[in-house]
Amino acid sequence: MFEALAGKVVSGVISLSMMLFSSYEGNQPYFSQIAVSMAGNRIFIKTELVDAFDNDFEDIFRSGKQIDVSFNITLKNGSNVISDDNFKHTVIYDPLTDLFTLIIEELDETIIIDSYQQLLKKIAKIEYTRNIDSAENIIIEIESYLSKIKFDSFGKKYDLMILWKLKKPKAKVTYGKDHEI
Amino acid sequence: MVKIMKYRISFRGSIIILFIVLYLPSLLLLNSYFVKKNSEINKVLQNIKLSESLSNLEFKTGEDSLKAKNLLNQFNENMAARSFIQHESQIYSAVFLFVLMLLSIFIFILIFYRISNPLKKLQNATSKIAKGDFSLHLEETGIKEIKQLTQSFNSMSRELDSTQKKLLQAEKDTMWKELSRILAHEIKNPLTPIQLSIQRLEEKYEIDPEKFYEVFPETVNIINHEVNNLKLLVSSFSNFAKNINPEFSEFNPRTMIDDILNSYQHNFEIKTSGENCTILFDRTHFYQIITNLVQNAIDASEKEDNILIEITKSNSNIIVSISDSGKGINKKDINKIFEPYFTKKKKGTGLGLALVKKLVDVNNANINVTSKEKEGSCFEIVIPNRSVLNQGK
Repeated sequence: MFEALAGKVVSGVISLSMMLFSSYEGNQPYFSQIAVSMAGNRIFIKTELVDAFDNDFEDIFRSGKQIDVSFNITLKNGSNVISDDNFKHTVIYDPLTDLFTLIIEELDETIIIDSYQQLLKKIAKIEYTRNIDSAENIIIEIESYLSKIKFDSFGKKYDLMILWKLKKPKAKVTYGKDHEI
Repeated sequence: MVKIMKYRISFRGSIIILFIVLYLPSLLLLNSYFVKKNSEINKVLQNIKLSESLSNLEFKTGEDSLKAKNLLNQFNENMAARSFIQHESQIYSAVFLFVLMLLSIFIFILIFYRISNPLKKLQNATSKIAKGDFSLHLEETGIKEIKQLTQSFNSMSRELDSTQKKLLQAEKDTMWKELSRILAHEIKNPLTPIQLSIQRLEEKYEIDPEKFYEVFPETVNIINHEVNNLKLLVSSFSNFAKNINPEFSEFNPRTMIDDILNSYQHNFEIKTSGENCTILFDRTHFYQIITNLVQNAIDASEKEDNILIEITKSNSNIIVSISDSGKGINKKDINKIFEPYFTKKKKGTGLGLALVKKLVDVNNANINVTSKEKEGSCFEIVIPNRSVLNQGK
């Protein structure tokens, strides 16, 4: 609770600061509507990160460094945690071939993409599936964050969350018996 | 022993020190942050020597390709770092300025409160002083200037308090002196004829005993009369000093006024508007008030002058007015006529009208005077109507 409050305070301060003292646009990511469906005991969750990589990410993705976009999906039934999974979408760029390698961990897929725009579309999509015992009143919480990267020329690590104005996109839905979201 | 000097920084000094302590380090911090970021960007730019490095490669071997790949990677990495550092600087400087702004606002409010709060207290204290409460003492705290102002205020308040007490004491002394003078004068006046009468009786008794019995009744009469005057004097002083609690009763003022006027040998004209009007008043007090006012009217008038007494009734009041066409009251004196011991009569105690005012007040009524010198005076007693009083209750 304290962490959530502190997060809100920090994001509020940053938003106000940027509004008052800077013309820096950055990115304000959020999740599109979460689509949930059940097939037997398997739950399927689909969503997309919107407005997450439009500004200032091209240089970062093309740096050749491994860039991880992390996701956390928590499934709850009331206050009981059914599952808490972390997975990553990893981007690695090869400057000689001008190709992006995208590893989608939750699907265990590796995709080679030659277009930056295609990369942005693919990296933002989430398709998560899992077996669960009961589909009654499942609370789905999802959040995303960027990790720190270390450039070889500098000893220091840089927090990529700066490009999201230090605000983690989050979403929460409840999936009920009648499949209402 | 080392004497420690107590030194308080002035308000202006505090502001300057605050500015130096708060703003200069902030600016230095901001400046050092930008210098650091600038050096990071410069370092990045120094690493970008792509064209120079690539020109040294011949791309004939796989090793050259690997070198080229590394160079490109390094170039891209530096480009990313440059862009990232710029964005980071933008965000952190904005946050820093925002925090500085919040801190400035907080300090401004704090200083504003420290100035305005004691000023508000001073303002309240000043209003209390204006209402006559000089016993105020404000806490001498806060910034130097405000503390000095509060000290001056407290000193002024003490001075005013002391002056007021001295004035009250002086007033009391004057009153006692005046009272003693009046009492002495009033007691001396009847004593002289008493003494003369006794001397006369002694003289007649010793020299001409036959005549003694002739003058005896007349002389005793004079002594009795003067003793009665003394009694009256004592009783009027005693009445004035008494704590008067009215005993309200309902009666017709006209009837009582008629009774009072019967004992006087003067020309009176009585007018009454409204039949059977009654008042709620202390009977004895009403008697005393009317007697005093009628006597004053007679004293101010010539024998042949008419004295008009009117009883008028309105929705909310019953007004009893006594008008004479005598010498009237001087403009300078009209404000003092209800003050105790103020008199213009040769044989007056100065307590008559003061007593009238006191009696009128305790009966929830009012008294008004209009007077014109050499034309006469009119005293109005405004008594709230009984029905209005009942509604009030």
